[in-house]
Amino acid sequence: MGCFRLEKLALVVPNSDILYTAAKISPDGRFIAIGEDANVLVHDLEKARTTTYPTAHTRPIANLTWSPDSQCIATACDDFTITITHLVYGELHRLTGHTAPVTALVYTPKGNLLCSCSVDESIKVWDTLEGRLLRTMSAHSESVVSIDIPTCDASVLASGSYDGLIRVFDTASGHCLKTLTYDKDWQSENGVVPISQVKFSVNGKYLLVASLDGIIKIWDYLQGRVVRTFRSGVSSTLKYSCGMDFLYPADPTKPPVVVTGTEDGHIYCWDAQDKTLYQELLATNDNSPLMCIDCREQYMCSLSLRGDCRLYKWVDDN
Amino acid sequence: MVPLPEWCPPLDTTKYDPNTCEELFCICKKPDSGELMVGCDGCDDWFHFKCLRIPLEYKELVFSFYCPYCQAGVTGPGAITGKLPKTVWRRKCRVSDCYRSCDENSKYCSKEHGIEYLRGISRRLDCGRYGSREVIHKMTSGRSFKQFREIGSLGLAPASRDLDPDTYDAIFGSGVFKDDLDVKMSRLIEAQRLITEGTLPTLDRYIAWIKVVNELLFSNGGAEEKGDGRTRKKARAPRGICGFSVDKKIPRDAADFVRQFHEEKETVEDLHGVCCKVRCSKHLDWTGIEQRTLQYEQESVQTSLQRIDLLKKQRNEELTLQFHEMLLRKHKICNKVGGGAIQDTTR
Amino acid sequence: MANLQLQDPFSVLKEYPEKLTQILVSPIYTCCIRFSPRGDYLAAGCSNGAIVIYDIDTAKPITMLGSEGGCHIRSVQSLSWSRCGRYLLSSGRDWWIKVWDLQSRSRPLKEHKFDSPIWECHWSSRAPWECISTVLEKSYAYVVDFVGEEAIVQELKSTLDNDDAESLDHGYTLVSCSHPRFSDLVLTGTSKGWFKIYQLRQDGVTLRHCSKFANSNTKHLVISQSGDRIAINSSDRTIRQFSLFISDDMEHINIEIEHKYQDVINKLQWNSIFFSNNSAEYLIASTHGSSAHDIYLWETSSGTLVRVLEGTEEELLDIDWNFYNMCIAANGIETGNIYIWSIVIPPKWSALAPDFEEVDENIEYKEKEDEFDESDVLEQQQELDEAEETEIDLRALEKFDVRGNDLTMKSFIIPIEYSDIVMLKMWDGAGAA
Repeated sequence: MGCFRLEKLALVVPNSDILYTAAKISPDGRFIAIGEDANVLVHDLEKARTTTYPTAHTRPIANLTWSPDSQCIATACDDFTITITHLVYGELHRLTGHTAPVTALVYTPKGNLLCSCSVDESIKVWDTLEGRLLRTMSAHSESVVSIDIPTCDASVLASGSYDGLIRVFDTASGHCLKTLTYDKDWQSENGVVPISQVKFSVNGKYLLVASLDGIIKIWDYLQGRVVRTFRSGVSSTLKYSCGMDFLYPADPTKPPVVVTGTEDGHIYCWDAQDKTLYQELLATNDNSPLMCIDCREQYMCSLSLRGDCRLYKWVDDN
Repeated sequence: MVPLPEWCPPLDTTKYDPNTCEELFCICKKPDSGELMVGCDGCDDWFHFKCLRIPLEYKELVFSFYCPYCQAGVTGPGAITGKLPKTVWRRKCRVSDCYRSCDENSKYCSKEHGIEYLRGISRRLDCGRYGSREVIHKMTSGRSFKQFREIGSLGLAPASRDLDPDTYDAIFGSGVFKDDLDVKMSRLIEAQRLITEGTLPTLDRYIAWIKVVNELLFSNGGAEEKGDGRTRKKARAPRGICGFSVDKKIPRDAADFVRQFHEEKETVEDLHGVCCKVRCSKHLDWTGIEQRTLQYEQESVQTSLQRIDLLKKQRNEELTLQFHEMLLRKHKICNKVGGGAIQDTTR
Repeated sequence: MANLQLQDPFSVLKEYPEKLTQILVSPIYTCCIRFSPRGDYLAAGCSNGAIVIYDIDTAKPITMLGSEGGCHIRSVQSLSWSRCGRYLLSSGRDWWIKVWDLQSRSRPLKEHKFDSPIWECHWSSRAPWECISTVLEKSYAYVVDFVGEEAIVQELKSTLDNDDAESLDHGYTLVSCSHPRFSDLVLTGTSKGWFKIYQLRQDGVTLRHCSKFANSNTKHLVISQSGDRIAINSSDRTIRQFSLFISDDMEHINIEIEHKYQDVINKLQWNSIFFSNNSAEYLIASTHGSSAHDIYLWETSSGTLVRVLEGTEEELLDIDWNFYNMCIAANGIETGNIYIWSIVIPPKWSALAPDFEEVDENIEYKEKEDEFDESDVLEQQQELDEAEETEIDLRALEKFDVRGNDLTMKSFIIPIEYSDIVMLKMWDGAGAA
């Protein structure tokens, strides 16, 4: 067992009318990047200093991701474009091609490809060296809101869409390899349950999936079946896509932890193996929804819609 | 011909439903149900926006439309001429959720939307301590279009330490990357110096020495003495010993060397580390290789230095931008004290 | 690689690629090509001495080695990747062999200069930083040890045997390769058609085998991954395939000819040869001459030609075969372009709709015994509950892919050179202005 302890508050919020949706820890653990309107704030954890990187976006940044070498930040924006900003040299590329807001991004482990998904129902793969569109996968019938690629295996890409489907693609060919329905009766009279986030396990064999009915599941996507189900909160139809992630305790004998944020600003932590609830904590001052949860090594970064960004550290009990 | 889009079925020429005799349209081959359609300029068939996956909002933006079959050259003018037509769209109004086409010579559908768009931009303009109204006024107070265009061409104001020493030092003081480039630069300059002052003159001197040796050995008609036809033909090609040595040290005076070479009955292959073979395939073109290596090194140092210079410039620009942005942000936070801002503290 | 687990197993497990799928465009003539160990990069050595690395995902060059100098200035003769994928060994006609660290590649990490052009150089399987090199007009190969600051070079020549072991003139040593299983055995081939096996021991070198197989130059020498089959391409337009038996104590070495491959009609030379993986079920070769543009693929057990890889319009020079991505690459002699053949796996349309199944032919529908039975809700629930209780492993990585390739060796990621992107942007900007 173990629990999260608050390490620090990472963000000074000057504008309370801005909505925040993305905060990510850099792979080297030195920075937290936060999307603030059309800017990216990069908070240096060691020096406790925040640097502003302006982008050429004309609308708020919806999501962002670090390149695997921690040198670049890619931003997904409501203005249909993606920018790649280097921490030293500034903007490297502005990628245009989506025909609706871009919702999420993921780099391949090599950092040579960037994948993006959009409200335009497509997934696009870009060459990060030349800023060139390589291919487009159109296989959803609603906004695609989340994509992920395992850090150990760039051959597959998972996507989650408001059409209620989770699809697994071959990254190289763009072919769909597998479709996971949200449930046996996914198309009930109430319509489908939109998927809000997908995340691979560290070995790339399982998929953590959050949907807008507030239920989190772990899928064995190779076999196509649900192996764990977690329920958080009371609401059965969420308004916000709250964040979630896996955390792997430093002790390899300890089971991984499923961390999820709720609409009222709480964080739930479950044992991914036996589903016990380890911890429930309040991560905001004003109970605003937790839009983003990002775990890296023993750290977890949470961000509320109102811009409350906190860094927690996982501490194993003995 | 180009392939049809994945979602488009192959051409079906059925025009009427055999059962109901209704006229059929589109790639879906269904009768008109009142749903929004567009006529193709190539084959005169009508197509549903939905079936062709064109957002309904684009209905006012069609200028000349060609269906997938015409665009692929299956039907229409492309099938005859081979020149494939493409759908042409009107330019859309810049206001993002307006899908009307632009007025002539304008980027907006109407004057109202032009004003709305620019108002949006001015709202987003972050003018720090100045009001946006003031900044816009300054921008537009110039007399001519040319003056207007020149605004901003000078780049950012240089970051000055006087404005805010703390911020300045935080950004420019801790230049980890910067030192990195400086170190590289001095290393390259040192490498350059070593070549121009050391290796290159040594090589040149050695090659000159070998030339002298070969002149002494062969210019006094040594080869012609035999007088057969074959050597005469080759007389023009410079003859000589290979002359390759590992360390390019001149062993002794050329005349001395030649004397010794003759003493050794000219069959020796190696004298004082100098290769004395006459036709040496092993060391073929060694002078070429040595010279090209040094030349290449010098060229690479030059391009690398230029490159580092440019990179430093680019990085400085980026840091200056960050400096100004940080000042702005500081300013904003100061103005909002007590406005729910939390302090940046470590607990 | 999870994608292979979700694709049609019959396609995935095909033993050799069949279709030309990618062309890497090269502006310079290429001399030799090598895939990185995991097949995600390809290094190409060029006639002007440049070494270019391509990213297979994007089919574009990502870097040139030696941006601050130190690259070859004559054609690159051979390339060899270290097992970890981080160090690349190159040899050139400019007499140099160089070790490149791909982590910081602006200059070579280590280098050594011989006194004549190098034929080829490859990492030895015995020790890290050790490589075997063959050099123009030298009777013996060289063992080059890069472990220290200065390279230590030693002739690969018997020191422990009595004098007459190598008293015969065997010609110059032209090619060499390391034995994959007995890592201190080095196989060499000479200009007079001799095949020799040396053993590198703590106390010196001994000649374990020496036999003559032909009267001409050895051009290539390849050994199967399992180490029990070799093939020698020589100037007499023949590829000879031998079985190689080495007893565990290395006391008994036996080689026996299995097949000879010749182009009986055109009498063509073979430019390059390569074995398939494991015990080498297949042998491939590129053909010499402007009229031949193909790669021949033979089955080694029967010696029959089973396939010709087509699609290029020029003569092919060097070939390489990677078993992780199951791709064969070959470079064209005229353009320098690199052609890649791979296994094409057709899309599975049923993957788009769950609960759908693809069938090869129509099946007459027959109602199953229990098809419309009211299913036992309790039983179904039990099944679901069971799945929720079975232990899952979210951490442990797969050790082998479905083709049997070792996945425990992490692939090295070549860092992206961002300053290149910045420079390109500046040039574009300057061009536009």
